[in-house]
Amino acid sequence: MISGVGQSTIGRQVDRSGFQLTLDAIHAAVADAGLTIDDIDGLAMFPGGGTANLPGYANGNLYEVQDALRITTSWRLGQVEGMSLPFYAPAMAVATGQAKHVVIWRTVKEGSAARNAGGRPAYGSTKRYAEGPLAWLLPVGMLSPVVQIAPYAARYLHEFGATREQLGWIPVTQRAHAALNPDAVYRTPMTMDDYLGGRMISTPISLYDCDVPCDGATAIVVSTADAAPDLRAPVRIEAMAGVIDGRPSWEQWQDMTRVGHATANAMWARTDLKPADVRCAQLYDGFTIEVVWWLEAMGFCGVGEAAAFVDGGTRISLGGELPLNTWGGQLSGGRLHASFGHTAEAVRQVRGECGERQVPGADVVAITNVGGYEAGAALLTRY
Amino acid sequence: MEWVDVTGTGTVYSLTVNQQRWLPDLEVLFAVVLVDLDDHPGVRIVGRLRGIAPEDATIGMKVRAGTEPGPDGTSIPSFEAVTR
Repeated sequence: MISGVGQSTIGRQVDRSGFQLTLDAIHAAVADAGLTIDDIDGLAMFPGGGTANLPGYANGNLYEVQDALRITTSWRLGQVEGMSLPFYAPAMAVATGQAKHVVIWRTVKEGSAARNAGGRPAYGSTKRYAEGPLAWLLPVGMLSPVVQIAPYAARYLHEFGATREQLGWIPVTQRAHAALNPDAVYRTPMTMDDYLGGRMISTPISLYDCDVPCDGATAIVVSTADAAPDLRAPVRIEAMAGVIDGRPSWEQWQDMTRVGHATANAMWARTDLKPADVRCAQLYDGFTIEVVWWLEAMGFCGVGEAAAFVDGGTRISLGGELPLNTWGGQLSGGRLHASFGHTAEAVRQVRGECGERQVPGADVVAITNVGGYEAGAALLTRY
Repeated sequence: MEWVDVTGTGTVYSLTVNQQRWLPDLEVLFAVVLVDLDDHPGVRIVGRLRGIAPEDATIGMKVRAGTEPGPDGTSIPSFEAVTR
């Protein structure tokens, strides 16, 4: 179960170090769970490895964080590849008795990094030579996730005749949700004209199709079910899955219009619940097209139907049949990355703690992460 | 694993025209194409498209593989449109 979520101050630039933001979020999450720091016996972060693969990755060092907390741990993990979902490995750690209460965090200083670089930094800005999978992409000019994802969006528009005006309802609607989230980075209303007027970054992805680099940390406490009586408001992980069924590569993925389907199918196979039972959806939105993938993969609409599903914004707004990214998502709430922000919102929705943006009776909430070759999907329900 | 010779023509599966100057010395605009090689199903190569205006690139167009000079004496995959 997920017992606590907590976040630091979130903003375009926050004048605290990554280390400070991390500790702010951990303390907030532990208090939210109804626990004290001494109860924490597992630590995990994403990504681990100690080295940033993009400027502004600010998790810090796992051992320094343990030292600052002055705790004893029986399980630790710094993940780089294969995370699937933030709470996936921590849930297995508590289920197998390795720890009782694991906190996992993700800290970004990407807003500050973008300001310091005079724009959103490129992959190629940190090293002279590309290594690993990026060696195939950076030399030809695919220097950013934007350029790597853009062909997926181009192929989708081409194959299904969808338009940017239709898909634009995703960022426009999410901005309206962000207006109801005091912690969102961008809260002023955005119109379709604003969206279409955004400068093109890499066709067909324009400025407002991209998530917002920000500073902030999110921490999540995952606890063993045995501890439920000690917890303030635990939330059940009903089902989760993370499947890679194609070539794990941005450019080699064969059918770029279908992403996340194997993960979603595996997740649905682990529950009796159905897509129609989901009251709101926190779907990964590094870019607009990723929401399109997940709407279709999760079965909220059919393949090729997402553009019609989101057109006009009615279905995906608060009060609609599937309120989408009710915190504003990464497109307006801030790029807290790797579905940490989505998970925090899902937990709060299930508990009924979302104030003005609360979805009534949100007893089943979906979370998805990334898409592309790494992917995760889960349902959270009332405990 | 071993090296296999492939023929040089293919079909553009998808593409993007990059307009953002990610690095100080990056010249924009340019088209990046994802090319499925005609005679080798499952083999996809990514490269720049040269010889035509980036905005004239289309999904489904026929291209031929080649290289262009990269930094420090390297060669970088690139494609040119096949004209009939």
